[in-house]
Amino acid sequence: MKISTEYFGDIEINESDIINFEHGLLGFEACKRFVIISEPEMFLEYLQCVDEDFSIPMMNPFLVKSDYELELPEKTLSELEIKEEKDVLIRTVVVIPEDITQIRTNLQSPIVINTQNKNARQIILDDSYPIRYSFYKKEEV
Amino acid sequence: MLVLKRKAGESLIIADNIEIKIIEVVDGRVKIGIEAPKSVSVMRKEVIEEISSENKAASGTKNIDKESLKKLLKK
Repeated sequence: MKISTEYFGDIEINESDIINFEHGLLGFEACKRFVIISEPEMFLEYLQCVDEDFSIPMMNPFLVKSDYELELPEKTLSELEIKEEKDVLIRTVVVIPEDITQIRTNLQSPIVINTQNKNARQIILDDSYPIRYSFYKKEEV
Repeated sequence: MLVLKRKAGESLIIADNIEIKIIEVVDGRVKIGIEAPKSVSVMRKEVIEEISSENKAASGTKNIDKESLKKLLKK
């Protein structure tokens, strides 16, 4: 099927690529179906809503926080029907303000995707990790 | 909204299996104990609101400087 987006233009997507967020995303509870759009040569990816035109940048949090650790709650494992760790994809929402030095990612509320059945949810961890984790040039230090 | 008065040490029961207990009230701060099944999520409202507003801020991304971003992190 084809979807029209302002940011990426018209894109062709396969039904089988659709990721189901039963509960939507916080602040966007109405959108339940997304696809992942990769940004070539870059660490960013986008979660593009299939039913409305908006997208949210996300990234692999381990790139900026190599010791990032999370234990998925039982509730999430059963809800997303996660059977094996290798089926799980963890991504975090990235906020890219005009002033790029303020770029940050939400480590407290990762997106958990079961790559096998395409069920996903943005979960909320305890506050050991910040909602706003700035990582501008952190790697170079 | 249902409004009830409770003192320290008193509880409320919601739907048979959730207990909200007022543990202590000191200087306008209330310490609350919650006993609920694991399947029930309990969150501070401001955390939910903050995450929601971060998601909205993220979705507002427009015309980013891709070249600077590419330099920022290698894939």
